[in-house]
Amino acid sequence: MKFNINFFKKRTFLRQSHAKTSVQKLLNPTREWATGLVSTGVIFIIFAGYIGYDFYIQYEGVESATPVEESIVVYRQKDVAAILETYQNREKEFMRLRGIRPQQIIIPVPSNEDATSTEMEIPLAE
Amino acid sequence: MVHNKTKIIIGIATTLLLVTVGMCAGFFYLVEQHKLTLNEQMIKIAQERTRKDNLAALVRTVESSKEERSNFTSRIITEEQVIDLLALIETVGREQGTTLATKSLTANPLNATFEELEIHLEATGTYEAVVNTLGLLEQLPYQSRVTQVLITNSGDEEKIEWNASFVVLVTKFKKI
Repeated sequence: MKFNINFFKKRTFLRQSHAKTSVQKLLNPTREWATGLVSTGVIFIIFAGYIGYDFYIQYEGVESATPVEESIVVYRQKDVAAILETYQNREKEFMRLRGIRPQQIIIPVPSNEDATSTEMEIPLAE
Repeated sequence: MVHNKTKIIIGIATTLLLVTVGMCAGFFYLVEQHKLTLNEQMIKIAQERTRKDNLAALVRTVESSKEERSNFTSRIITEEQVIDLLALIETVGREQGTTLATKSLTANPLNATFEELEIHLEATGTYEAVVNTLGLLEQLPYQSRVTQVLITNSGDEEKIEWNASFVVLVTKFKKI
């Protein structure tokens, strides 16, 4: 093979115009800055999301996950009403057996000259 | 071949990167520690809040049930009402035509608040009077119950007298 001195001259990558293009492709400040800023923004968003989620879990989740001492006093009003009714019926029956009407209250009358009795009955409304 | 200036820049950048990563890790460690403390405090706050809510509900229940509790309390005699109760029992017997006498009275402790009065009674009279007296003792307007009843007859054929013995248990407040 015969050495051709014009071989390198014919190679396109050594031409001045192509060399300029290659340097611009390798080093492009605008592109590097944009890449850096976008990467930083993505990392920031990811971390901000994680921290926000963590805060939400901490703020909202703790109360629901908190073991609460069960010391609630249950007041069974129906049972109470039923028992009180039983007591009332019992008292009425007691008074009925004694011959006293439950609707009557006996109160002492203040003494005066015209009074012939020291007690009077005041029937209450049924 | 790498220039010295480039080496210095790479070294500074690597150092800054390591320092930044280390600071981030340190801050995260501190944040985690604070998070644990915060978690414990939030649990305490939640427990206190729950306790407060329970207490408020209890106070509301106490306020709303004041009348019922008063009614309940009136059904349980106090130390001062024992004499009145015995007088009431004897009055009831007298009203029904029986001779009603209290034979013994003992107090059996139930718990820290209540005790039970065990009243032994003896009644003499006609059958109807004795049974009516028993009915009234069963309906005493207090927390009470009749646990023992013994009715026997005596006397001649013309005038039969009935003797009865009752045991009445009455719940009372302990003497403070």
